[in-house]
Amino acid sequence: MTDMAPAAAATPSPGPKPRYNLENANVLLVEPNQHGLEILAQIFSGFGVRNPLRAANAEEAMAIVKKTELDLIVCEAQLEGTDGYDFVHWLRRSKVEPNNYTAAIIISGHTQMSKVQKARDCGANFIVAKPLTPKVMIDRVIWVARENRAFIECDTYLGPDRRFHSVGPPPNTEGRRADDLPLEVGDAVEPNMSQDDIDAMLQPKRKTK
Amino acid sequence: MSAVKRIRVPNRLAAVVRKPGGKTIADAVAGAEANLEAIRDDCVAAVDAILAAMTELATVLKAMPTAENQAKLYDLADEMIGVAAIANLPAVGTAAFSVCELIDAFTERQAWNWDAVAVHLNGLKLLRAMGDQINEAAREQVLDGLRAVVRRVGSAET
Repeated sequence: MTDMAPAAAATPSPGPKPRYNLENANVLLVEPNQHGLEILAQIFSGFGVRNPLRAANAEEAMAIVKKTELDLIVCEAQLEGTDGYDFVHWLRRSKVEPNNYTAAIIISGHTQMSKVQKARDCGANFIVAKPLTPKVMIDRVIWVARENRAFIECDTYLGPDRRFHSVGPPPNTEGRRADDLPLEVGDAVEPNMSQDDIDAMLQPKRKTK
Repeated sequence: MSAVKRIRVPNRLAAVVRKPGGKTIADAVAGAEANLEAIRDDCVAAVDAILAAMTELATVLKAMPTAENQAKLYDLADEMIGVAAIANLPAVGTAAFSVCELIDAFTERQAWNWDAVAVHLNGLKLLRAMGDQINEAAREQVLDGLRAVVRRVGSAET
């Protein structure tokens, strides 16, 4: 039988608050309007980012992507010429490693009806609605830093898996992925686990020497 | 049916933020808010400049409501959404969002209605002029009026 953890561990103390170090993060901010860019820069500077890189349009951003390894890209949707969705789409297909897998957050004041599908399919990790608040922005950055979503590549999409939870393929379809499971649960193929086995999996163990 | 490839890549951002040092979320937010406070006056000036540009463009739009001119108004309103909140004028930002909705509805329905644009510009000017002097009920009344205009355009009743 497994040992239970000490009683104190059952009610953990709050402990130190987690810290996130963005000092040395290479962050690219893409925003066409001077004031919008300044707002973004001030937010990320407040988060601790030392020297956020700035671009006013997709062409400038592409040039930076090709020469600097980036940890995070924050891009306005509404850019002159190539828009933010097309820029992220280009990024994902660019084969400029490792930047083609860099976390990308799109920020958008208003999303035109004609661009909703483009926004969904561009390959961004997140789309954040303006007006920006530091709290929402840091939450999204931390979320992106914590997430472990695989990238999905197919004819019509290249980007982080859009299925946040594994809910299986849509009903009455087989699913296209090798690890997609059928909806119906089949008969057990192995013996049932004993209660001790289950306890051993679920209960915290005291480290033994 | 196309083949789907799952690619596992290291999360570069995760590796960076885990390095020793850094800030708690509360400190990061406080740092950003202090920085934004320092540029608040600039943002107020930007709101006024964007509103002036919208008013000037409206004169052109009244005579020539081309898709290009409508797109210019959309871009100015879109810019306003981001700046107004930092300028502490959130209602102006909400009204600017309504301008975007209106232009989007025009585009979707191939429609045009100058009066709807004029109502929005007047609403924006009123909300800007009143700032935080306007009470919540009056502010919501103005914004509800703008939303109703967009709904009417969206349902092609105009």
